[in-house]
Amino acid sequence: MNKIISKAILVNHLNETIGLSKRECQIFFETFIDILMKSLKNKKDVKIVNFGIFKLRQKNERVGRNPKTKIEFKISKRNVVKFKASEFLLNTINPVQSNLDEKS
Amino acid sequence: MKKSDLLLILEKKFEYLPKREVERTLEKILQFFSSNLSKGNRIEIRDFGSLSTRLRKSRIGRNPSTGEKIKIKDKLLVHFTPGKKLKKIINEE
Repeated sequence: MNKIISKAILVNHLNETIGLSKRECQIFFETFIDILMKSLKNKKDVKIVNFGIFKLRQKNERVGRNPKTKIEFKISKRNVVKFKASEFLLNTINPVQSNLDEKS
Repeated sequence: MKKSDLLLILEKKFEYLPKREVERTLEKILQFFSSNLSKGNRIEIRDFGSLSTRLRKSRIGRNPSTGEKIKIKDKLLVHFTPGKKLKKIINEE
């Protein structure tokens, strides 16, 4: 039931809902993703109102252990990207429940 | 970077499009993301990463100041898994 939405599906949807050709939609979407990636590359978080924030976080070096073999190894210092959904997005994906069961 | 900055760059790159059209297209992309996430679908964008929802189970919480027990309901959260290329570029230097 749960689908995987690929770029192709998104481009088709855009093409159907707005007046741009598939090719233009694809270029537009790729440019959008490109801007996001460049911003993160330049260590800048991306905040999209009503959607969420892509945040860059620094992780320190630490010692990891293979749980099976117990062999220790070093996990190096690195940057990771975290996404935090906005309140608005969380409200759209979490269907509103009646106030009744909130109080129980 | 904020959405307004993002729009400015997009407007500049797509000069031949009316500004309203650029804004609408970006809105449509974001709406499509949200509506698919709410259906439980997973969004996969090569190089960038994927967005999916994860369930945080209900649990019993406590009001820290009164000690009163309260039920915290299930909640869907959005999880982002960075793609290979994104991981690589943020760690370059």
